Amino acid sequence: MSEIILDIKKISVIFNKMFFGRSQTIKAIDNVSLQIFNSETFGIVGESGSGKSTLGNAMIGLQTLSSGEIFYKEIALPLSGTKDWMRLRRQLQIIFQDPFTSLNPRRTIGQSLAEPIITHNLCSKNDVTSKVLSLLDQVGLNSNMAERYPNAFSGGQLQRICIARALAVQPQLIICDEITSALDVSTQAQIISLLKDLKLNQDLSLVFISHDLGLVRNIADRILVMYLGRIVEIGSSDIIFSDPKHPYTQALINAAPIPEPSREAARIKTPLFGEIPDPQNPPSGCFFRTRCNQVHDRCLIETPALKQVKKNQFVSCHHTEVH
Amino acid sequence: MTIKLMKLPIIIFSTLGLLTLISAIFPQFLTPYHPDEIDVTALLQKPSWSHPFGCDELGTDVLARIIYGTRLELMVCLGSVALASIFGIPCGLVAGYFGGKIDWILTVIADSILSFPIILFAVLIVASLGASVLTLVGVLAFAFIPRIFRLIRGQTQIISSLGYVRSAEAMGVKTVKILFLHILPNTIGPLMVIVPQLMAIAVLIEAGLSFIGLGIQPPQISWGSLLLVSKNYYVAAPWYPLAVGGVTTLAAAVLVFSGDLAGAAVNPLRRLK
Repeated sequence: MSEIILDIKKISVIFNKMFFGRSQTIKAIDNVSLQIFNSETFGIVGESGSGKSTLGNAMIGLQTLSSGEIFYKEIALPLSGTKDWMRLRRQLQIIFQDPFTSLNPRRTIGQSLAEPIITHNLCSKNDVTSKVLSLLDQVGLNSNMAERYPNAFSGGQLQRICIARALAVQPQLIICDEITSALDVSTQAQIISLLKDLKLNQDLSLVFISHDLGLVRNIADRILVMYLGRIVEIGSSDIIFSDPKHPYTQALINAAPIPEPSREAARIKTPLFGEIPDPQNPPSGCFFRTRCNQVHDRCLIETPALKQVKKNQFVSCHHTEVH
Repeated sequence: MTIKLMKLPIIIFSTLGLLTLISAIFPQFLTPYHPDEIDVTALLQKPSWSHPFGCDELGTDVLARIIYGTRLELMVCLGSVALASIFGIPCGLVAGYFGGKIDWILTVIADSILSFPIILFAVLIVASLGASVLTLVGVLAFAFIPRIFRLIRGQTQIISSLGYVRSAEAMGVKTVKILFLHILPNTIGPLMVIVPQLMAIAVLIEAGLSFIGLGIQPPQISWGSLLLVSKNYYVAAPWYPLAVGGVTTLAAAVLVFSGDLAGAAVNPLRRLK
């Protein structure tokens, strides 16, 4: 496979919160290791509260780690303020879920797009305007839109502008944190095809965080399934969707409706019961055991380790050995 | 028609604002009388066409004294709020953005100031430093700092979690730029609501302190010092204290209402598309 650009080694993120003198700890990410390869699209799926967004923020260095390390092309992700920080800011970018709050309402689109260019001295002062216009053009927007304020745009247009802003520094990796969940379905499709086009034209890796399995299947080469901050299953998109090994992945895939009436009617619906457990006091052993339909004694005591089951598939479940 | 109705409050408030500004800078344009002109033939004269608010104990036109008193009033209002903003805004931005220990320390200080009665504090300071315009401005600013700090801190906490601030961080924009370019301009709306309200409080506290002899002292003219003198004549010339008190109350009321108007006016969502 191609070159590793982001190497995440056993990272954990723990949030401490004081509440009436009582300290509460939440493990948002628990001992996660993974690699992102050059020009791949990596999907992260999971329920709300599974630590997807925290992992996304950690990947670009916006989240302080409690333990573990992240390497970007052999360089350890430095903390804010160090010399390497500015260099990394050109390589790693992020796009957020809500396009309506992603752009400063008091600055024009042109000003917002010029900011990364000016911050990193990407071109001479006279060329900033033409650079901004070419960015707008790249995401399929009109050049006269640079003069307007964010409140004049629709969600889809704003998300295009956010993509343009992330692209301004020509990054190696863009984290897309649920970028389509605030948009309607037809706009979602436009944004996804725009991302696909952009990826074809340049050397770019995407981390696509979403809870929409169909979308992730459509765009991602590899998929990570998360549950309560731990890796449940990781592997190539095709294998995971055709042959999910973990009961949680199976339930997730099973819960997604099939866009074909006859097959949808025949689909055996085995909904996931219960809620995601309270992250402040997670269950012992396997985190998923409270909702698993194959739970046995061992799951109560022992935390399953991530094991390889196929060439491109890793699962953390005690049952995989039986299979 | 509807547009005209909507614009009516703006017209009223801007006229009043302009009037205040003229009385502060060029009071001679608004009244033919001088505030120190003594006329023994007109002692405590009743209101008439030539003296709408009557005359005081020295025969001076009361309206002229009120108009000439606007300058100090405005200086106290603007000075105290400006001074409080200079300290309150940066502290609020830093506390709200960085959080943690620095936030805790600044918030504890602000809350301690807030829990202390302004009047009591003013009495302490004036007793030790002496009464003057500067002391008054200082005391009011000190009382206003925690109010502005709390507002800016809360707004900063909200805005810091929004996409445009997080993107700026991810882009490597300098923290100072993030604070003053991305966060501060977006706190203007709530700030525009609270500033006139603080100015209204300043007017009332100035009047109160001067009335009990701790603020601006006669012969310097402010509404509070006029009130102090006028109270002696409330039986013989009730229009005299009524006029001074009425103007003070009206000014405070107008300031409070104009806050809401100003807040709405700077809302970017109202900007034409």
